[in-house]
Amino acid sequence: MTRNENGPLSDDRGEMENNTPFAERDADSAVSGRVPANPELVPVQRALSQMKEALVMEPTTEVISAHAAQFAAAVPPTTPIPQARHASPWRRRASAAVAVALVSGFGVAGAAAANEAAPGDALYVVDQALERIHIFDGGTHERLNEADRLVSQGDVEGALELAGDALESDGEVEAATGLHNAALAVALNSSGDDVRARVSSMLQWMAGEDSRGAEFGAQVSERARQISGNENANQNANQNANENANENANQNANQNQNANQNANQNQNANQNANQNANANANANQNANTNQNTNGDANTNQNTNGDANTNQNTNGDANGTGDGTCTGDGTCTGTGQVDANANTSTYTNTYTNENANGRGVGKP
Amino acid sequence: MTLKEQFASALAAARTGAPWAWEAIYRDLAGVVGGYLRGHGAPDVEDLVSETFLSVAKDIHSFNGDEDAFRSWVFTIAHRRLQDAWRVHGRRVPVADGEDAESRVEREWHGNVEDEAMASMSTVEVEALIGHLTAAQRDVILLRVIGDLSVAQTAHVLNTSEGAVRALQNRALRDLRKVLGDDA
Repeated sequence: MTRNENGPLSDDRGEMENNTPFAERDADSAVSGRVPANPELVPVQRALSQMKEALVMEPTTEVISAHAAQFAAAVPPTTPIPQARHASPWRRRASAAVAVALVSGFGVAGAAAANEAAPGDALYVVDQALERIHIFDGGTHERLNEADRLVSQGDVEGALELAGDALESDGEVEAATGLHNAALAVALNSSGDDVRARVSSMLQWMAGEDSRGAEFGAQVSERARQISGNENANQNANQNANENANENANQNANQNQNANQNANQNQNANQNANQNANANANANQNANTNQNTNGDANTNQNTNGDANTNQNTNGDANGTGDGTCTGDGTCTGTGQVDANANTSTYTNTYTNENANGRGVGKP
Repeated sequence: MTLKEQFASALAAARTGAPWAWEAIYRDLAGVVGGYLRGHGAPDVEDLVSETFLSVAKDIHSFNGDEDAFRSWVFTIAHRRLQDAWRVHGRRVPVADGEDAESRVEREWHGNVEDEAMASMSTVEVEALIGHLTAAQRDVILLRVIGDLSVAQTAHVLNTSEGAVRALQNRALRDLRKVLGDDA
């Protein structure tokens, strides 16, 4: 029984005779598992803690890693979607002005040449400007043809990115993701002629395909996966084709395949990380080398820019130079003054003088 | 349980689609998000948790903030998924056997409070306890208790004021106190 002034006056149900709030700290304790100072709230806190224990079920490691791969695969690529086409009216007007000037400037033949341009060509910007005002309406089809031209020029990765962007702006997210992943895989692995041929045939198929939607997206990402060359992906795809006529089943299978791709990407990422680590290690080794090899002042400065190391080097040289160089025509002043300083010129001068047989010992 | 200083690097890696980062995030939050949904009597908790994290993954580029903000954001998404699910399946009233929630609380719960050895409640007991709260009180209590969210975070998830959250919390605690009897 409590005699707390905040406590209820009676237990009658349905009556709200006491609405005095609990102290903030007590209420916070009650909901966050700490024993509240107000004894009235102790059983409430205990009940809530037990409720939490009953409701929260931590997932197993297998469940975690299976799901994590799925979520990682669902993260959209960071490449910015080109939005200029729907940008400000001013931008469109400016493009129109440029395009009109271009068409009147270098004629219809020139504009036609621009329409043939693929990314990277000088005329590609012109091509895009014309499309923006619906001359050579550059829909997905034209973008795909441009991508195919890129493949013929050997830029497989760029072609896949371009095709992916085109489909993405077309709302074909699944297909676009597949292509972006394929582009990544091509970038990470060396791309041979067979890859180029497969990309080209896929792009031509896509350009010729009029229908869009789930089936198209699934087919594109399927082909993209074949390009990125993953054995698991192929196996899964085959099983899929043979066994399942069910949309849900297909989706699941695709998600698994994505998971495999991502696992591969991850390995690559790790390799890169290791390379970076090596680079750092090398940097450190360089620093160490500088400190140890004191004789080579100039080389150290040029390669590593490590001022401290060079100071040490010259300190040594000066130590040697002190006794021998005084009174010499070229060397006297510097020898004394620089005894504690760090100029590499001193070392060089001194060496030359020795070679000439001067400056050793007192005059 | 939070990621603390690892959070920034995990978030950055999660944005690039690194599975290890998603493992860390999922390990940290899946249990409590599931608990929150379970406490609400969600129709299919595992699916809803997956849907929640899929949404998080798809929108990860739009998120900016620290770990507290991230936690609020994840629960906001879970809360919306829950409401979507209710729209489809209809809200499940956490009372079984046609028995009145309150009388069940008394039957199931009364007298057990003193039992220190009892590790946790049965599902029936949890449903009975939560069934006593109004929907708004339940939102607040579950976010505060299961989600470990502060009053401010809870207000953010429920798109209401901190004052409203405190008032709902207070009323819920008072009602629970009444239901649980005089044992202290």
